[in-house]
Parts: sequence; structure tokens; C-alpha cells
Amino acid sequence: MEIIAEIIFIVVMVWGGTGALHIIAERVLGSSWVGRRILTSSRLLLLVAVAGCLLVWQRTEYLDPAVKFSVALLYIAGCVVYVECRSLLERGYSLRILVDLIERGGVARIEELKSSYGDGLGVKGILAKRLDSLVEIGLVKFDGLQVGPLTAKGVILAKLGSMVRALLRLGSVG
Amino acid sequence: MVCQIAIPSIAGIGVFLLAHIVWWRVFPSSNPRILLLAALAVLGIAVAALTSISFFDFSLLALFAAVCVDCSLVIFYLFFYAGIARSVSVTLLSRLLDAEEQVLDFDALVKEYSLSSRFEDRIDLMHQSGLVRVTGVEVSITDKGGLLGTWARRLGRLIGEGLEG
Repeated sequence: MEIIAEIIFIVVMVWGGTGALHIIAERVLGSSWVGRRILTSSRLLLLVAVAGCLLVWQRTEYLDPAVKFSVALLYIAGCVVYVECRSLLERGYSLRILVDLIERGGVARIEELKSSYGDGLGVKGILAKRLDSLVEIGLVKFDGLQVGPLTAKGVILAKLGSMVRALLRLGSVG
Repeated sequence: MVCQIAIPSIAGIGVFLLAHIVWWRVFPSSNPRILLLAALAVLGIAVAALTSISFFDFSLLALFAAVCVDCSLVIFYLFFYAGIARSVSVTLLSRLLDAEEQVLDFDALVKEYSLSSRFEDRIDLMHQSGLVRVTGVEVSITDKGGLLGTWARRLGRLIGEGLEG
């Protein structure tokens, strides 16, 4: 039981350190990442996460390799949780609607919320922002007037998305 | 040791995915049903633990490792599911895939999105989750929604970018 508590302690500490280090590095260096924020931030996180993984591996050296692998996998899953939380906090659709509502004193008309979504960004702003991100990660071409065509990577992701949505019978989404 | 960890983990994630796909296909909904998904994940973890205890010599460390692997696989899947189920970007990519020569006029796309009921559907889901109250054409925030929105704004500021949406 003591070993398990120790393993959990190591994973939590290294995971917390990974998040903190990533946030600090972004705050210090982020202003120079204009136009390539997502890619640079992802690469930085990957670098910090690899270092964290090596640290977890080294700190659990006394364990069987299969158990060590499981612990390292748990740490990587923690990093995925961090990425998901960040994504929600930066781009959460429902969360942004809640924040817009709070900024309007807690009550608003649906049309008013829709047209001024995201602090005045509106539907056009959301789509432009998403498309800029898709261009940055090389999934689609977008020149401000015309969207498309998809790149080879974009086609694979679009097909995978459509396939899984059809498999799970997900209707009105995103 | 490898089999003692791998087999229970595979059993756990297998049961979770099977239950998830069958449930989602039999009872389709536009609601992401995260709580139900979490309950199925717990079921999968229980299956992994039971498999480890029932079919192998008991070792607390092996049981812990099997549960770790199963939890990690569940987290990876939830990350994938969140993107597939709710992502505006994936919807855009799918829309482009169906378009002629995979090209669309940006203004036409904006018009299409503005005229669709996506925003209203989202408000409806938030109403079902108890985050907002809808009365006719007016939306008001509930205590639960207010708390979540306030914390989201604070955490958004902490990570630096703020909640842009």
C-alpha cells in the first residue's frame, strides 16, 4: 500500500509541475508566438511532458518494467487531462455563453447572446478563429474569403470524425 | 506480469467501449451524456479490477497497474470523444468534405451557421443540464451556471489566454 501511495505522489507531483512549468513558459514566451501559438504551445508541452515522463520513469526505477510503463501511461493521461481542460477554458462554447450571460447581469435574449457571442466575436468570429487554428495545424486552406480545400491530413480527420459520429448516431453537434 | 496487467485492462476498456457504442446506437441523442459515459467508464474499471482478481494470483501492485492502464485508456478515449462529439472544428472539416471540390465561400458558411439552430440547441442542452433557465426568448443563468461561469473565467485568466470561446 505504501508503494502505491508513493507512486501516486510521484505522478501527481510531476504532473502538477508539468502544468505549472507549461503555464509559466507560455506566459514568459507566449507574446512572441503570434500566428503560431497552438503549434508552439503544443510542442512546448510535448517537450515538458517527455521530460516529466523520463522523471517518472527514473523515480520508479525499483518497479517491474510493466508496472513502470503503467505508471508512465497514467502520467501521460494526466497531461491529456491538462490539454482537455485548457481547450475547454480557452474555447468552451457553453462556458463562453455562461460568461457572456454573467457579463450581462445574468439575463439576456437568445438573439442578443447569439449575435454578440464571445465578447462580440459573433458567429463570424468563432468560425474565423476555428479556421485559423485549422490552417495553423495544416488541415485546411483559408484565405479569409474562401475556405478549402482540405489537406490530406484534413481529409483523414474529417472522414474519421464523420465515421465516428455516424457510428455513435450523434445528431446536431458542434 | 505483462499479461497480468494487459488482459484486465483490455477487458475493462473493451466492456466500456462496447457498452458505450451499443447504448449510443440504441438510444441516440444530441446530448453528450458525459455523466452516463463516466458511469460506463467506472463499470469498465470495475471489470478490469475483477478480471485481475479472478483470473490471476492476487498482487496489489498488478491490480493497481491494471487499473492505471484502464483509467489512462478511458481518458484517451474521452479526449477523442469530446473532440468528435462537440467540436466546431470537426464539424467544419466534415462540412468541407461534403462540399463540391471541398471549397466553400466563407460568407456563405457564416450565413449557414447563423441560420442553423446550433446555438439554440446548445442553449437547450444547457437548460437540460441546469446551467440556464429558458423562458420564451429570454435566458437567465442559474446558481450552478453562475458558479461554473465564474470559475471558468478565473481559471481562463490563470492560464493566460482567457475564455475566448
